[in-house]
Amino acid sequence: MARYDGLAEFVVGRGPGLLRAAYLLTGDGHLAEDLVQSTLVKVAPRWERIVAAGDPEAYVRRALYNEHVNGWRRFGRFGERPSAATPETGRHPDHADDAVRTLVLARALRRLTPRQRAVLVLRFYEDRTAAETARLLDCSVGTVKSQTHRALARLRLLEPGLADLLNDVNVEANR
Amino acid sequence: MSARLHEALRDLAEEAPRTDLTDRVLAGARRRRRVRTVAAPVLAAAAAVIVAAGATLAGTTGGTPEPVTPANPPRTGIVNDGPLPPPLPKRHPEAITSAFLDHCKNPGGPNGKTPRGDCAQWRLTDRSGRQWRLSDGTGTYQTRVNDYMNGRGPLEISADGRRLAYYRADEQRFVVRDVPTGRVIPVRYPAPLADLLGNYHDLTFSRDGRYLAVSPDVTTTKRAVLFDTATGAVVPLPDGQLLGIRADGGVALATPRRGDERMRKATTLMLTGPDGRVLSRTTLDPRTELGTTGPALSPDGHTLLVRMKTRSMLDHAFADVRTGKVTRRLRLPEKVAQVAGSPTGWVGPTQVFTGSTKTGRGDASGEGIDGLFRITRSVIDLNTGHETRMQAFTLRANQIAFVSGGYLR
Repeated sequence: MARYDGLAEFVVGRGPGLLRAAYLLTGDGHLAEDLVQSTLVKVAPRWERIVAAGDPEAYVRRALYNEHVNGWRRFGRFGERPSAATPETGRHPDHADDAVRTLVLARALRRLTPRQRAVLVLRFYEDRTAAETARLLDCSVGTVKSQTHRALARLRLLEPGLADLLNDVNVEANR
Repeated sequence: MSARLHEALRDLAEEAPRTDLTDRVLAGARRRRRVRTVAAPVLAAAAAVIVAAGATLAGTTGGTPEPVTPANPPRTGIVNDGPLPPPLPKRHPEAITSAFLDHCKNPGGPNGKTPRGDCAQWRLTDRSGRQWRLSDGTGTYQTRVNDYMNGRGPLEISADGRRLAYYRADEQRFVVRDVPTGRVIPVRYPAPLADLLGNYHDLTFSRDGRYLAVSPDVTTTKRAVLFDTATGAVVPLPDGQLLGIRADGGVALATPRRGDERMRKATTLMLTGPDGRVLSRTTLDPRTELGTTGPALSPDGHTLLVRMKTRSMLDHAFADVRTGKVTRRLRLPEKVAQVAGSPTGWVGPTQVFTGSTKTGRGDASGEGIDGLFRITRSVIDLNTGHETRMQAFTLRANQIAFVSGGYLR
């Protein structure tokens, strides 16, 4: 067990935060657990080195996002899944109700590509800059900006009722 | 930042499951490490060159131990705050219950700054709480590759605390030391220092301390072996995750199916005889998985502690290693489920011993690992979930390695 010194404590301390990010990425509690678990199991053999590098959380987060994006690319396991909910309701719900707004946002996020979800979560949940997001996703800053615009445009198209939520993000997207 | 979108995402993220994944992660990592499917001769050869060129040993002073003068308990109540304890005397009548490395409390742990000298040796605690150093064993050794990758000599304490298994760098071999008599039994298993680089070796005693399994890492082609301390015999073991050693020297192992290295779909259980030959193979009940990172085999030699594949981390079961079938389901109380599911050893047929580690300030708040480690040694009754605390103490370090044993009298 000595090889994994500090890993258990890391999972206890940072696991909830990783699960929250994974939940936003996958839109499903089971898949979120699966994503976090599989990411940590993959990094565990290198744990000593990761700790030695000085910022294990940054490393794990990067691995998490890449596992999400690349896992979907390889296996399609985070693709769209059947849902009992009708995607188009014909009228827009009352987004003043936070609970309804959260449901609608979750449903819309699930219909984005994994990379678009990853970009939105990094930019607007974790408050990362475009440069930081590019480093984490191993792509160019230009790709991050274009993906962000596409993701926001798709959200507006899918759920016009979220417009007021997205009104002030255009400027931020170029940061 | 868009405050409204951020707030909405934060609200959504709060719906994430609050599952503690620690047990699953460690079990998965250990499976990946223990299941030997990859050979890396190139790595091994490179490692040998690097060690020959630049290995620096720490924690091996050799020679005759100094006279016994147990260190005074430190005033802070933190066991490694006081002066370094003396070496373990050649003959010591009391059982050893814990061993730890604090890596000389270096910032960044062993990789931040190389631990050197006596403080890099394994520290031992006996049943009375007195401390010693294991001066003839290897605690931390350093082999720099691109400014990282240190190694550690593994150490194991038998269930009764009367035997220690560890690596002697001077002799480049594993040894078993009988603590009360001082007798040292060399393990006939090739273990040059180069093999320890990047290839962590698991050492596992049988319940009575007679047998020692040496299981190298997944990245080597070396076979796992079972060493008989009474006869000196060494028996090669089949590849697989060691679940426990039976009283007669047979072992229980788990192996994955091809393409299912994490044993998510099916797990094959094997029993070997004392000669290492496979006596039986069966498939573990697919409703269950090996959740444990410790010995899953109870002292009766055929009952396995497994976890049910349910949403709840509390659902466990006993399964028969000979048939793979569930014999009894268990639901453990939440506060003990995680540690009981990964025991260090077994006190009785339904009682497990655990040595758990928790960080104090620092890690949970995300401020880094610097801080205090609280070690708790407990016995947990799997039938009732009742926890009996045997000992608890605190270490101050940036990073620790910790081994627990000596739980049987």
